[in-house]
Amino acid sequence: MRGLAKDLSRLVGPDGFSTAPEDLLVYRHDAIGYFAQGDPAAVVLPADTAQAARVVAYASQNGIPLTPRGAGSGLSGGCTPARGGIVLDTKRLKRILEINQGNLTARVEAGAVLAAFQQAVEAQGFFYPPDPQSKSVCTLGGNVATRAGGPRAVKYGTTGNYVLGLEAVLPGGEVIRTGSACVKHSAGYDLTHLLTGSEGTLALITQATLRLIPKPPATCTALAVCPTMKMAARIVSETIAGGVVPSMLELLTTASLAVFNRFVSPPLPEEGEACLLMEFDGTAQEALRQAQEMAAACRDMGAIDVRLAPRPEEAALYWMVRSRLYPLVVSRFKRVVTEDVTVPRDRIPEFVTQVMSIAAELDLAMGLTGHAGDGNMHPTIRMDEINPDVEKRVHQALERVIKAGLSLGGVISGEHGVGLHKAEFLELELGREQIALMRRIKKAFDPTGIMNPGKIWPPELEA
Amino acid sequence: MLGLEQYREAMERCSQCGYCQAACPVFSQELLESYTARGRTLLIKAALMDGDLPVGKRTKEIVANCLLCGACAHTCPGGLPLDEITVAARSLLRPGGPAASLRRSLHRKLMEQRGHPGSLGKLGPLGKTLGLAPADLPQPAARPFLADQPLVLRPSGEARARVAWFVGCAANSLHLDTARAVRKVLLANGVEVALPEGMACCGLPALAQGEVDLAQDLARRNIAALAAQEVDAVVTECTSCVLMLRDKMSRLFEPESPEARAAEDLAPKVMEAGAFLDQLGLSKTPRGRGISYTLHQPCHAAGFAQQVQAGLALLEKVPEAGYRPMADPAACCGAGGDFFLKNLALSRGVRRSKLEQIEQSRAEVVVTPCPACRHYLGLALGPDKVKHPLAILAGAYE
Repeated sequence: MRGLAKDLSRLVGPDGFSTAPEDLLVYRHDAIGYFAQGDPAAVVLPADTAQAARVVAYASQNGIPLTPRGAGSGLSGGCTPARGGIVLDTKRLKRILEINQGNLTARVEAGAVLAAFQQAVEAQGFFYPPDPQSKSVCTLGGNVATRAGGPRAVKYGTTGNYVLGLEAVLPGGEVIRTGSACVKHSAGYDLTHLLTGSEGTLALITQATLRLIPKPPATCTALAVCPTMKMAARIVSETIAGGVVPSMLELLTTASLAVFNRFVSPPLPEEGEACLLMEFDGTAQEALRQAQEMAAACRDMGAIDVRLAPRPEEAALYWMVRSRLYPLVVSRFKRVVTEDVTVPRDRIPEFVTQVMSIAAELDLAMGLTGHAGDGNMHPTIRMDEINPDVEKRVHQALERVIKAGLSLGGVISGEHGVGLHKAEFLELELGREQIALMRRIKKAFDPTGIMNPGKIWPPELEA
Repeated sequence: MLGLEQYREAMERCSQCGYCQAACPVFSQELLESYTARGRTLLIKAALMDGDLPVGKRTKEIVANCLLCGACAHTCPGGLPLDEITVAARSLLRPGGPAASLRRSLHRKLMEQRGHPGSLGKLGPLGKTLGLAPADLPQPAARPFLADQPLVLRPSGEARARVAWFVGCAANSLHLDTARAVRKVLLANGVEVALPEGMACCGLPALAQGEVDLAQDLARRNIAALAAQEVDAVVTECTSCVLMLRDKMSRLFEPESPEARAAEDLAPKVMEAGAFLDQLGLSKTPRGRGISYTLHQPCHAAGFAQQVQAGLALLEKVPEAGYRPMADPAACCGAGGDFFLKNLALSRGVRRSKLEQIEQSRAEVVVTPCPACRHYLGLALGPDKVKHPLAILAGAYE
């Protein structure tokens, strides 16, 4: 890499990159430190699409691996520069280019932060629902690249449901614009949704055109602590079958309850195995009525503490803790391994039973917090110490949890993406044929293999 | 807040979530992740503790490029003391050599003299003319406020409460109008005010430079001066002094040590002067005409924002004064103590978005209890446009 700094300075100016190891340290991984495996040679922060395109073309011409990065808040190792090379940090591409009220669309640069975008949209009476819990920092480009979702998926779907068009840089440096700002579009292959969720392995996403919807005027939050995990799972599947669709429906386990009790008063009964945290939206009356009906159903089915929080300030506290739950829990243990298996909603009770017996058989402390409303569970293995025996059991547990999810008709990742974390399991879900087809698509986009190498499939399938 | 090694466990508990990006004013300008708490902490551990990286110029820059506003620590889901880790790193990285040691002894003198440089103050304008001192360095008053004060200020009539007033260095040496305003509103409301002898700078500026020993010395003096006072509260007009005396002082010493215990005993008594008055209730009704104001909430108030709000509540009682909130009162102004003197472009970038908010508020003046924010915003807006909140109340007593 001799002359790299000189070349980058020519491409993006002296303030647009760093090759100093002191700066690069944090770019070795995402929000999971132990996924670090490669050492990047440079981080580049282009100021616009044109600069980004020059950097991609340069990497391509020189065979330098290039790993796109948003906020580095992912949980799959997706933006980890596994083969070194250039980390292309999109955070300076941060403008909200347009909020089109007449067309209910917005156009943003890839590095725009989700929370800032949602705030801007909501100030105009619109709503952009996808809500990965790292929303205070995560970027829309990263959301698109991982097809990110969050609690609101139960009613509103994930990022993939809101992407109408993209601007992206192909590995050769050509800039393409896919899709449109139209709701309907049926010309040609849907490259927009091919790039959505491609985890930076096909092209660099630089802009997105996103669909907006009208903002529901009111919300009401409800909470129910259940004595058993099975009861919570049953409440979820039965109420949804009964036609009640909350705007968010989260399942929390005992360890999470303890975390909540550092913030909420009166404290939640920690002897409960599970807690459902729900939000309903609509007009103020509709939201309250649905929450009340749900609360009554939870009481009937045996929940031990049922609360309604119709006031937004009170509700905000519960959802604030929820959005910080992952780091809050992680900072209490030596290591926490989080899964992202998703099953059809009606299979949640079976999945919960299987996960709990896997934890018991392998003698591991496991939580099962997740977005129960959409079947996206986060079985979370908490480790107080790290040694080869524990690591071996954790790996066995991961594999068994994933297989359990798949056997129930589920998928290996609901919202985090495959990255490094799930690469070894992709074949279990997709099979050889689909992976081979994906490999051919990859080859068509990126013949020299510079885009985010080492991700999605294991190295032996990369050739 | 002693050695870096004491923070190892906290550093290992960092989940790497990166949520600190949302809060950091420096990161908001540069968008380079090595300037976040996550990045800086990784670097501090690798370079200064584990020896994985040599300690070079870039490490020093990254450790220096922090306002110590503490916003990351308040955002951190794990509640890690990220600002203190930076202080401990700065302590290790203190420069050596005769120039640094001269500068250090000047700082010590200044802090021991409550921010007043004495006769050296006369050299300020000369230094600026010769380019030896930064043009934005504030010029101290000829005579410090405390030079002309008795040990006890007594209100006319019976005292409703008795407080010890910790006059901050800035009110003592730079913003004497603030000191006079605080004196006026306390006395007007029947508060007897002790001005104990022997107090020094609170020590927070020393910490910002990594001078932990100096901060400990100053803290010992302040504890000795204040602990002997029989008072209802220790009040101060300066947010950073509240932070130091209330939250940080005990952490300077070994847990359970006599100093730590004495500091812990003192801490619950420490209040912002305005919050104390709000709690006591005004006995004198403000009658003069007020002006419209907007609040800039100093970063150091993040852990006790309700005290700033309480101080602001007093101003609602001033006739015709109108509060015009800005979009984000708690967003950084860019000053960061004396950070702005060394990082011109960065600080101005942070200040630019604050100035936009102030303009949009359409208030006549900005009120803020922090002297550094006041000075730095005043450089852009004009010195009369930024005031201490209690100055508005004092004005209505004229």
